[in-house]
Amino acid sequence: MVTKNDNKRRVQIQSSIRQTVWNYMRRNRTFRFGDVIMITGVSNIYLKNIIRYLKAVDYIIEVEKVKPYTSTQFTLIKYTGVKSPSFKGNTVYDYNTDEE
Amino acid sequence: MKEEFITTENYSHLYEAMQSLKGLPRTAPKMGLGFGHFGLGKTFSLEKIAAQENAILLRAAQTWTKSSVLTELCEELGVDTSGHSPIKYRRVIESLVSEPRIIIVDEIDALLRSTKFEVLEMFRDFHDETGIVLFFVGMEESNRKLKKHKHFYSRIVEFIEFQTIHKIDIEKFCDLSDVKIQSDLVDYFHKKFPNLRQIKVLLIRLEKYCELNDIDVVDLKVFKQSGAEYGDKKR
Repeated sequence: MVTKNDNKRRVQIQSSIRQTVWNYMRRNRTFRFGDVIMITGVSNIYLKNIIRYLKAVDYIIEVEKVKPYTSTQFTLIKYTGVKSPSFKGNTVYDYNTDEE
Repeated sequence: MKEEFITTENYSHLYEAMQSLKGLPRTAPKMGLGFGHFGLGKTFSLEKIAAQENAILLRAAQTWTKSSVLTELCEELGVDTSGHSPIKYRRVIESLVSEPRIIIVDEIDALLRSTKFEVLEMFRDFHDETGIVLFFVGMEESNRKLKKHKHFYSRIVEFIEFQTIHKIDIEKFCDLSDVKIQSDLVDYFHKKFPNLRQIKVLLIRLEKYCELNDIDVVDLKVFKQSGAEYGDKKR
């Protein structure tokens, strides 16, 4: 039986572009930069930005830097949950842990 | 090489099957099965469709149990993961009824042993109770193995057999290269290399060779000269 509490605890997982990118990363913990672009359709700049944020908070690491950059591989080393973190200013907010 | 998704014949068939299932009425069975050998772009196609359709894409594992799948689904749907299996089951059902999502299960082969079939039966229950689209993908044998379970198999209304890569797909792929690939080389790729993953490696090696040697157009002869087929070690 689903209680009222369950419904309250329920969190909407939005199907935003950011969430689509995060979904790909969490399903493919070691991923190629170019593959994320191909699958999600985001721009190079947009993805570089997300990677920069996630690297800064040690969520992902660069496995190997290769040329061209699109062939560079990353690994998501800190997986906290299904919901995509949000990025604003110098802050990364993780909705899975409710931490900044 | 440009980073662009190629709409291969296999992908197109998969996409069309998904659209067809989505268009069926609520009460109609809406299960699909994709099967074929490795290296034909199954998983990459699924990733693309999952991104487009906001589908839940799961990869079946030998360690899956009903309970672990329920927890995973609760997570994916953003509902509470605590409690016993029947509670989680109801949460999943309620969530899928109020907000239907396509569920895709890749590597279904892991669930085709008799000891794991109860997990597949649970997916069938989700399908029957909520009317969601459920798509399974596995290796060549998965079709044959599923046939044995008639009550399950009868609900599968879309079948996609992944075929070896078509020449037109290789042409599209070669068009992404920084150098122009001539048709005799496309023919050679088609004859000798069964999947795009291998061809990609060849094209990357070839592009490096062309950059060093200031070459813009590559035919089979140049390709053979380049040694790209065998990599650095065997050149």
